[in-house]
Amino acid sequence: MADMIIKINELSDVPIYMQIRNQIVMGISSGELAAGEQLPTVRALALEMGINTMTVSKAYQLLKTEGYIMTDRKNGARVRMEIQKQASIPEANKAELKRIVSEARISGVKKTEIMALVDEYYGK
Amino acid sequence: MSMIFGLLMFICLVPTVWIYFLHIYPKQWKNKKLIFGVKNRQEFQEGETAGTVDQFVKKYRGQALVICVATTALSAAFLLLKGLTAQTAVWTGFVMVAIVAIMIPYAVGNHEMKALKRSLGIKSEEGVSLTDLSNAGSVHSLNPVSIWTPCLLGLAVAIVALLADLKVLPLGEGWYVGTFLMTAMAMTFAATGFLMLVLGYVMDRLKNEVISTDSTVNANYNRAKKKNMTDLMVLFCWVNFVFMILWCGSFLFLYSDLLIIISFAVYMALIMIGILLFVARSKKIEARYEKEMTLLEDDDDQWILGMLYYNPKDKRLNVEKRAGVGGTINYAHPMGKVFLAIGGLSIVATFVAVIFLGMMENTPTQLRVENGQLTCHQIWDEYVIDVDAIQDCTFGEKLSELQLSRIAGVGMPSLLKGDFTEKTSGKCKVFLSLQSECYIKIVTADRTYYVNAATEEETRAAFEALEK
Repeated sequence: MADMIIKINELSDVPIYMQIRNQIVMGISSGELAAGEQLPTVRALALEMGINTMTVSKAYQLLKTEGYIMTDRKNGARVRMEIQKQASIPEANKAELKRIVSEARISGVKKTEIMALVDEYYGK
Repeated sequence: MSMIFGLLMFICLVPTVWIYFLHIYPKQWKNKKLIFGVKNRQEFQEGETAGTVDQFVKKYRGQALVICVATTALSAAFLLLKGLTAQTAVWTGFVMVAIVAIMIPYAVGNHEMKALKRSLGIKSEEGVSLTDLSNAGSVHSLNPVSIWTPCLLGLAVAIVALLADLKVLPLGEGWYVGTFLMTAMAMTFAATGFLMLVLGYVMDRLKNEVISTDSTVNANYNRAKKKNMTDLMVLFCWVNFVFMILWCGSFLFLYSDLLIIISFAVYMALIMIGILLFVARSKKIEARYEKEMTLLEDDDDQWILGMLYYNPKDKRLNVEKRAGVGGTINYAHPMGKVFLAIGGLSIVATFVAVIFLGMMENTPTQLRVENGQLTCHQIWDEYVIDVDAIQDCTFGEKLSELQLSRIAGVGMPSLLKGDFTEKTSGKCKVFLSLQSECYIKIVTADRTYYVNAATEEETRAAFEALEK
């Protein structure tokens, strides 16, 4: 079973299903969630988080559509063994990255600091 | 009887307040997870702040200690009260006052701690919750066999009691067989067992607390806590079952009101011991994981006075208690509001019941002979006997010589009313004020009555009117 902590902020502008989706994606990227790893059932996760099952179901559905996880009735949800490699950044993410870099530049963050963060998140 | 009732209340109340004291007012606060329902954090342990927290803990612990000692002393004093109504009224009020009183220093402490937190510039991460993905829905400790066994055995005993009362099973010769008293008692305890079973499952399914980034630590910590809680429920179920067997046995072979009440006091004492063991184990678990608590989920503001969980954003109904033992409910949940209303109504109903009991004890019984009928009247109860139907009517001088045992109805130190058995007459209807020594025995075609009024004069007048 997956070995990671999910942090949900109910007052955030980001919808809860998207927060779950984002953190699972980050978990896969960082290796906290290995390929083929079992995820909790929709019901168990919803009960644990104290949120509606539909919210978790929506996050899982999105992850499945995006090709990060696979689900079936018998085995529940698992991280895909092989995630399709697009080798390109989607336009929406590019825009988001641009916003983050711009804000950092305005507030005086050096390029090397940004690059160091990229190295940390991406892995050297 | 009133002394035993007082003793029973003493056994329930005094350990409860001391358990609360030990559980929510710890002397050493630095290694505790919560201080008056506010999550303990590094900032509280530094410099002057630590001194301030020390003062709070000393002050409110001292106040709680005074309340505990006063509760114990007053409870002991109430044992000397005479009269069941007086005992019931005093204890009902006192239990509620004592439970509220022991929580007052905690609530004030909670208020002070929240103020201190604000003054340090610490803002609660409102709406933020942590979930350990690997433990979601997978940390359980309740062994279904251990909790279902006593409950099902209890149900079997209740069914046997029913069959004995229906005389399908030839068990025992006592006159209580056939009155369904034993069945009612057994069914009540079987239902209590199943309530414990439900609570056991509820506790086993509480949200897992995230204390560390290490999932194994989180799993072990939550499993230990859940095992402690479910063990308590399993113990309740077994104690419930054992006493059910004892009581059914005593109904069949050795019936005595005194024996039942004494064994009930022992039953409550065992449950209290179980709760004490639970508290001791809880402390041990917290101490064991103290150093591994590296993550803090701050939902202090969702806890009103550190006791009542109110979080409209949380869809869960049951959460772990901050003050006390076991779980509590989210009062923002629609079902939580229903439980709150039921709780409020229960408190009102308790006071109404005490008032009713007082009325029963203090309203005199009356006998009237008019329009060819004898009417026995008290509050809204009326027994009406047609004078023409009376086959025999005798005046008795010594009420204390009657050997009456209650089947159903009222059995107070000053009043007997309802279905009873009398040693010589067997099953009978009784309407007797014990303030008067004389009585009238009335025999009709279908039953025997023992009746009187509150005064000897009234009883004698009624008897003379019947003789005419």
